[in-house]
Amino acid sequence: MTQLDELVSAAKSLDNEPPPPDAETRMWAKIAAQAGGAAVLGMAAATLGANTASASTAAVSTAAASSAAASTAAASTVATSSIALTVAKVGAVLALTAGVGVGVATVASPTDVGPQAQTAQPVGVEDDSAATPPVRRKSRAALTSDEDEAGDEAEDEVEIISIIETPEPASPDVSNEASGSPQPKARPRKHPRPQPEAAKPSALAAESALLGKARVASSSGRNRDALAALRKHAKQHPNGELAEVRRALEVRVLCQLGRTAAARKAADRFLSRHKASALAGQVRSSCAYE
Amino acid sequence: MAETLTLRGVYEAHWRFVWRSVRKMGTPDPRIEDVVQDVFIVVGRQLAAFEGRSSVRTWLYGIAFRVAQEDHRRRAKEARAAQTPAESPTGPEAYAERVQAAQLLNELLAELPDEQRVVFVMAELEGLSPAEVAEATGAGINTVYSRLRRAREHLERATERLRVRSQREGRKRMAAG
Repeated sequence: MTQLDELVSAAKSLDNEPPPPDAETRMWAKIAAQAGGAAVLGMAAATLGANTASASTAAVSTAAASSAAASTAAASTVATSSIALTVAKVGAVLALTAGVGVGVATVASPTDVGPQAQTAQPVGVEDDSAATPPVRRKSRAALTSDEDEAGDEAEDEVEIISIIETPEPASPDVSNEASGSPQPKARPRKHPRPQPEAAKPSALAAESALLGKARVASSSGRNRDALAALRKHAKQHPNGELAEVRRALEVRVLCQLGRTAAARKAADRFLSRHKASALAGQVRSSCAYE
Repeated sequence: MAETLTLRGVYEAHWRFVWRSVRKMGTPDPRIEDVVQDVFIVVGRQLAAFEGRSSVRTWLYGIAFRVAQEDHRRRAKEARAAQTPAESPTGPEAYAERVQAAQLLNELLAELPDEQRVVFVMAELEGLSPAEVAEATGAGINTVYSRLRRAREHLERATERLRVRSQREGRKRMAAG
């Protein structure tokens, strides 16, 4: 065996070590966040045919389905077509309203099908509020009245989101990259050696499910249900991976409810936190600033 | 039949392949996730331009290779600036040695022209048959054989060069010691 063969053999042997069990979900959350928050708002299944048809098991399928349409939006942000420009600006809107994916690349049949997705695994929750104190807090009792549209709009300044955005303890092994640059950065943490996969609940999948519920409710005109789902997300994942998406969705739902003043406040909050977000265009063009 | 690619679809179908490839390129464990993420960020940006002239995997491999190489260069630069040894692969010694071997192989692969590198990796590291490589790359079977032979010749020379250099440095150290 030559030295080259030895190197090849050593490299090939690394295939015997599986990725960490939660790697898929964790990486996708970061990719979607970097590619644009719109990536978690979509509805349509990814359109790679058989390659994805059986890809996801329960929890991940939620994340996958809710991510698919906007992943095209993410892909489109650098495309040169008019679709790309449109999707880049209103990716979330498309995903929310139409519930369809927007294909951006058509190719002759992909030749291979890689190993498919695994059961969702736990992911850390990023704390994106460390530098941004909560705007305002409300008691839980106040929360329960949020949906009461009979109340005056001042009361309704639906702090659905910001009310409970108290900083969560940061997971020890995650970094805040939700709105970060796509540049590689050194990460001090060390991954454990690849471990056998084990099924555990996924925070990301839970977040995605709640926002998916809100989106579906909103798309079918049940905006109060949507608001309830958003509130639940805000309570359970105040600074979750998808908090940015939730904040954008809040603006949209409030607009659909005709609660313009509340939408404006929610929009202000969103833009103060996520000025450079891929969803910022959607928020700026909402009813909040008409 | 034409297929529409989405970032999510490509990710689901191929993330494990990209993960394995990035690791086989010698990326230390603590960096693999970041590198894989960056690969798919690039994929998202280039998806619209992908014309299907090669297989999705070949395309992904090319992106992964460049991103991993860039990461390696950046880490080496940071280590030089900090005057610290470059980040070493973690884990049990045997595993670390394999990662280092993969890293060395990757450095040697970087010397190859793209078309030779792709053929070598597919045939030698991924275990594809020459016919499969030909299909994946769109090259003729004879071209695949030819590229594979030239790639091996180059890499054999490169490893021999490294071996000689390593021996020379070893002798110098012994003389100095």
